[in-house]
Amino acid sequence: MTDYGVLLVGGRRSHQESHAEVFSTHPKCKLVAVTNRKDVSDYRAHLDRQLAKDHGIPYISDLDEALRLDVQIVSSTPEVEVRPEVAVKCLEAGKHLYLDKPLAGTLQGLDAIVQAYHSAHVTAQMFTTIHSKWAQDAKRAIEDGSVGRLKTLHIENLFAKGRAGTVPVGTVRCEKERPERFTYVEAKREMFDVGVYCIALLHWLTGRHTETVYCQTGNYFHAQHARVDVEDFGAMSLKMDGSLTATILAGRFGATSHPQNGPQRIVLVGTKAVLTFDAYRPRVEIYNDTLDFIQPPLDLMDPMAMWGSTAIDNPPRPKRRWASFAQVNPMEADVAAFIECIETGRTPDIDPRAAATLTEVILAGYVSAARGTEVSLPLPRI
Amino acid sequence: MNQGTHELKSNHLRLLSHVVQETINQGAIGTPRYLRCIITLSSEDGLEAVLLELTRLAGAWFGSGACSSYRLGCDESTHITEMQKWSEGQGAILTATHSPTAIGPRLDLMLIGSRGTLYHEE
Repeated sequence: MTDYGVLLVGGRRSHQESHAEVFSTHPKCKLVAVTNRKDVSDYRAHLDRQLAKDHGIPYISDLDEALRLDVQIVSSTPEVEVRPEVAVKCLEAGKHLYLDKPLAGTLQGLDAIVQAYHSAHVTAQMFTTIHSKWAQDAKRAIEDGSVGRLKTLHIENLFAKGRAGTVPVGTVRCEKERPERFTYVEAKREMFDVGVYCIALLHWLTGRHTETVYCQTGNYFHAQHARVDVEDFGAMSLKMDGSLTATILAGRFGATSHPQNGPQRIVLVGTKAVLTFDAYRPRVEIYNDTLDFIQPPLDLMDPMAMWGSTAIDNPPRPKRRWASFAQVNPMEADVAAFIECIETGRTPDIDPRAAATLTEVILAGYVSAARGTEVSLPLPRI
Repeated sequence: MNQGTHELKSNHLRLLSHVVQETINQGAIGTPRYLRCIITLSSEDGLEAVLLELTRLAGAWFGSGACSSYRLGCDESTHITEMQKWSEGQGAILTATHSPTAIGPRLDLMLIGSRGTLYHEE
């Protein structure tokens, strides 16, 4: 029995590709339509129509019109720059909202979403990897006392995607305090887009707030990122409340820099033990005469291999040297938790308030990286 | 300081340094850009001394010393983390920590280069 009609905001070449796939297989959900803001570009509308066709559902060009349909859930993945506008509309329309990450690219945007959420009395959740098995194991180790009192943590998430080694020699990143643009065809802000996973895990695992950040961003690997002046790497040191400290690494460092999809790990340093939780353990390793992964031909429209839809014609050879034990798809588990929150009335762990807090940490990171100094949170509202 | 543990640790770091330098010299990871190293020690060892050794290694692999460092924790808090920056944009996160269950030193290292990455866990 289907309980929830799902409206998709965004199409191909957005995270809606994976959101839609997961919602389409949830037994209580039925995809109803793809939509977007009325003033999107022709190209974006084309991509949205393509996703609608992929799933055999109608495309509606006007979000306001689509929100009047019989839908209870909106899966929202528009460009970062317009996420606040879309989220506020969906919340004001009384729809449960499943949000792409990070929440928004400005403090004003974060605050607007939180304010609308406060008034909406619906369930809203931002996607994170907190429901992955290795993160759940780390949480259990903290809660059951295996690690003792937590002293510090290190969390890293690096995507093994893109062709590394192309950044011009001598490139030294000079960060800006306020990023103005986030959406490009060929690159994305990796500390923003990947670092959010680490910060979300940090806040969720510890239940603490970040008091200060000290951050460094870099252009280490990809010419595409350097060309549009966005970072491909970020590192942060954080002081949390209660004297807890943490470090994080995030970025996109090349398809051939890791045997699988890139490091995803949590290191807990406590009074009793130092424990490491890794997305790829336990695993078996296989070596034989089968040709392993080679980089696919460069797709100029997606050089960073951000979207599954661009790999349809030239699928990369899979990496087969590591075979991890069966793991729960983090988005399937995350959507399942979202539906469960709708049904029980429980507030999601990463609701817009939590999502805004951790996204603000990343924005503070840019300020720190630009100034070369520690920055305190919360950031001042001008 | 426990001399046996210190000698094991120093010898291991010396051998590691050699292998990593060879890897860098061969161009296998391109230009070293970021180092993440977490070393866990038994309680008898001095964190500052170990951090100094890690700093020296980072300097050797990056070809120069760091131009700035930012510290979390201190020796009395049983863990130290330094985030170090280099003038040409490289960086490092170096953590030295005590653990009561550590029988000997345990090293978890990732050296990220412009076109490849080196991993070491011991």
